[in-house]
Amino acid sequence: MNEETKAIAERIKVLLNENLGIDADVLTDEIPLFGDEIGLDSIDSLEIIGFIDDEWGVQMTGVGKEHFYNVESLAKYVAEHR
Amino acid sequence: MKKIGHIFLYVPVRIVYFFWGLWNRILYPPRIRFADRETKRLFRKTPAILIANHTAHTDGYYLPQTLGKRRLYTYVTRKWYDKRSIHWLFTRLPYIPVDLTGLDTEWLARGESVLRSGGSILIFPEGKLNACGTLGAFHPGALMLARKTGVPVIPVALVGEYRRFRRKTVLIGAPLALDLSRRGRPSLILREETEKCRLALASMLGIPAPLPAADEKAPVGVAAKAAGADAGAVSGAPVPNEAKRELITAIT
Repeated sequence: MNEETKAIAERIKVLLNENLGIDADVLTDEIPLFGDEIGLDSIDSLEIIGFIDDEWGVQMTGVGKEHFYNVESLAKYVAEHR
Repeated sequence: MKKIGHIFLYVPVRIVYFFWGLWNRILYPPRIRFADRETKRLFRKTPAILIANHTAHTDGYYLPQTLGKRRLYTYVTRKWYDKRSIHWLFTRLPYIPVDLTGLDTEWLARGESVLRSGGSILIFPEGKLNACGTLGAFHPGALMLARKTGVPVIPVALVGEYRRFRRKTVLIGAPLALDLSRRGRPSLILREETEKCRLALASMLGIPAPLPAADEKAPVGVAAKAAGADAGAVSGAPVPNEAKRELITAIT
């Protein structure tokens, strides 16, 4: 990831912690958000869409699920579309 | 050309829909019962999110046409909204499509827009027909709108079958006492509060509310809390015993 994407990833982690209550200690760029460890579901993904839109003005509604895989994929999508 | 076609059909469709509503009120006149006067006043005067059980295809037009609630929009699944034979009708009538499978938030934005402009939303949270005399699992997305807007959630119970020239009973319960904005993971909070709504509606209907399927995520400890006053000020039917059973969390 380049510097810009890294900064976005860091901010996404803060937002995930604030909005979804995910423990910052377990949240890395690579960890799957919808896997066993973090355990988000479709309702949480709608929340993610909401705060990404609020923060960067990037619309993720209707976007493929692969972009929500982990923090890195989210950050890359935001960096490409803002 | 497409826009002209849309406008051209809009007025006749609306006129037909209006007279169809009158016809339904003659054929299936509802007996509407409110929990109390305050509920009746709130129902008539303020925007609200109505959650109802879904036992027949006709619910989708019967309720909006006979409830007497101004500017009431109904959520309908994409599966129905996009059907070729009726899509042109839905686009000209007060229905909002909901995609239950994808990551689409347009339904949320449109619902929020309706509520903020003084309208109301009707949701069938089961997301499908359930005519077996119980209440299935509720989609927690139904409460996302309530969480975003703070609008009251009112349970609407359709009692019995549709029979021509017989009055079908519609019970309108008091706004549910939900705590949607407390701290915590929104999906867990919504699932807990959605279960309260489901149990409250089951209580109004006096029917069992069996546990959701094992592979669906359900909150812990909701039954004990929902069995009491937290389920909302619903008058009439007693809380079923199933409401007191523990629910198993399927958090992965």
